[in-house]
Amino acid sequence: MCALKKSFNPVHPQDLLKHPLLWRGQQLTQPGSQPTVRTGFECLDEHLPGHGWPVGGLVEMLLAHAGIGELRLLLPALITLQGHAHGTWSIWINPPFIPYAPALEAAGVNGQRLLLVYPKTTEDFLWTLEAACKSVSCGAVLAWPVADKLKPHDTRRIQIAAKQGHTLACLFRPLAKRYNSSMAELRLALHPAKTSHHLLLDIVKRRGGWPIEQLQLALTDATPSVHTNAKHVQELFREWQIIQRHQVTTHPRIKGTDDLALTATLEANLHQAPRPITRHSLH
Amino acid sequence: MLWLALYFPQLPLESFTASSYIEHSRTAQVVLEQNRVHLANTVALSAGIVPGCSLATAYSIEPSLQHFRRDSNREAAELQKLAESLYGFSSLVSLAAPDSIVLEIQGSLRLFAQADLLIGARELCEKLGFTCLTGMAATATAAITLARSQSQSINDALLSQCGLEHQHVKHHVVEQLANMGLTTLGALLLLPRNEVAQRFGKALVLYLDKLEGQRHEPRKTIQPAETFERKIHLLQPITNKQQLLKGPMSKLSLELQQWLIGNQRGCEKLTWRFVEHSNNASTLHVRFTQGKQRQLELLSVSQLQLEQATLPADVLSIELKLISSTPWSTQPNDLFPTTQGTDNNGQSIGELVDALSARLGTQACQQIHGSDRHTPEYAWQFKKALQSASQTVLNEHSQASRPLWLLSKPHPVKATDLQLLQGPERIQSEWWLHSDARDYYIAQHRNGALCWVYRTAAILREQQRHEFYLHGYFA
Repeated sequence: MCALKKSFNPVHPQDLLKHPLLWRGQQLTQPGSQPTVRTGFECLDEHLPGHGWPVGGLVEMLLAHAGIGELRLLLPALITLQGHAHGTWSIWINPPFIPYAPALEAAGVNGQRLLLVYPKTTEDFLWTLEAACKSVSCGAVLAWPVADKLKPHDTRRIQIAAKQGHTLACLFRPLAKRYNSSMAELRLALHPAKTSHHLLLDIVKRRGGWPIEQLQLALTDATPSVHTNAKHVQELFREWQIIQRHQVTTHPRIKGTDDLALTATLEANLHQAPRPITRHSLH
Repeated sequence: MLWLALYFPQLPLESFTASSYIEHSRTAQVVLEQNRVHLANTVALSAGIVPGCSLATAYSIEPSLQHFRRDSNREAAELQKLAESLYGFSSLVSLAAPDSIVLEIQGSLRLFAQADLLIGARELCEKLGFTCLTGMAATATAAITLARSQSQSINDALLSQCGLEHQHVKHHVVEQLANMGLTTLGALLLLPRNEVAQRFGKALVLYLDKLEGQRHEPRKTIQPAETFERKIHLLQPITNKQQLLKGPMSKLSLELQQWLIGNQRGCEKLTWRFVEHSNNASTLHVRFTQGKQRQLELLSVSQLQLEQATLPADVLSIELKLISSTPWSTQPNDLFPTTQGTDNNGQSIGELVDALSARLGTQACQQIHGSDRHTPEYAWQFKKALQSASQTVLNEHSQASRPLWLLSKPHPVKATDLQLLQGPERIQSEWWLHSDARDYYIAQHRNGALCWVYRTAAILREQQRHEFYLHGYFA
């Protein structure tokens, strides 16, 4: 009979988005949206949800082999977490090598608050990881699965445990697992960069954003430099080389061959063009 | 002085059921004395078995009856154990044979509220498998009298209203008094003492004097045992770990908890032993990094280890022995719990280490600490988790960068795979161990890893001299 009078003012899409029940993924990327700890690297922080490593979530590091700077990437966050009032312990499960105490102390990690656990089976590994994540006294858990047979539901289990315990859980997995599905909150693929002071980083998965590739990170921003400028050393080598040659020609019998071999190696090294570093192709 | 008396009316029966872990609420059970039923449980009573009837009569009424012969030694032993368990509530615990315990609680009230103490003591006895009745009064005798009078289901009765039947008054005296029309203590106390002494003997007057506190009543207090070692022998074997854990193990660890509280110790190491018919035994050693007192903590770590262990098929007796303990120090709780992770199901690090080493073995948890040696192999040491090591001050001279990962055994690498970045740094090992000098370089491997490599400067090993060894990663 009497129809409601229709308003012809069209609703603007922007206004629709302001509905209080609507929840947008972008909110996750705002700082303070979830408990995080600063990574110490500015350019990484701005790409991570909440601007830091999630405290209460699983982070996966995918890397081809050890030694490319994966620990240096985490060290600033570890040191920050050790300084917190709660959860001052870092627990390392199945580290592949021996964490070298003097180097850790020098980097600022409190070795007294570092616990190494060596479970034998995968079942024990997961149980340990879960127990460590849930413990109140533990701030960060770093884990290296032995033979990586983790299934997606295993990663889910760790993710939930980390969430409950407000722990930064970090799982180091081989790069080949990049295309396996995982319930981790954040997944990073690490590649060596051209110089050892840098690290190339792909964000494979993150909340509230698309994957990012080829993020270059200067490790020296937040961690002490491992070695001085190589050029200076190489100059010294060259000089030393010339002296050596001179000595060898004048005194050919001085325990010569040994040093000659070294100089040969050095020479080979010095004159080599910086090698292209093999990288896994990205899809 | 204020005394708390605990009276165990079912002690003859419960000394069997509690210590052997027999289910006692479903089946009719009686205790015999001189072939007559001395005590029957509620099931037996409701079936119609009355104390005093013969065993044959009882069986004809209830064929599924269980019967035990009264064993006063056993009762005394159980009473002693109970008293030791109650030592946590008071320093003055005294046995009142045959079936009561008195505690002096005036001093304890500074620590416990009166209600807490009463409920705590009662709950403890119930958890240990004994029903108890309590009474509180200014003298020990009066407290016992009050506790005993409650068996006639008069709660909180005044002393003067208590009957005479269940007290330590001889049977014929009670009868005599009843004939005179005296049925309550109140009436008896009104009579002149001299007259009472003449007619009923000195024992009754002594009792009345003690009741009113007119006569001193020195009591022998118990001394708790120096060590803790308890056994439970079961009448029926247990085949299930869960049953074992809920039943005897829980009871034993409760007893241990009380012992630890009484002695102000924290448990560091304990041993469980499970024995079969043929003396086939298996042993569990449970360790705690920090001293523990609470039953639940003791039990939860034991449970982790129990799940891993293989036990005999039929466990007939269980032993718990405390191996070592430390003086107890309470860990203060936070006054203001912070918002993070206070769901109260989180464990502290000590508990976590206990749980991990219980499940994974004692060697699974390690810590590293630096030592003041300069060679890379000896500049660190493993130590067992949470064991306080002597703090070593790292020498400051090590300004050269060191790798975060160290390989336990150096690994040869091809020189052509490396690009040297820094070095050499000569590190001379201790000559008394093995004399070699190494030149360490920082190098980048072909695959991008930043390595710490060395070359031995020794001339002796001719064939190996050109090779580089990988000793660490700057991860």
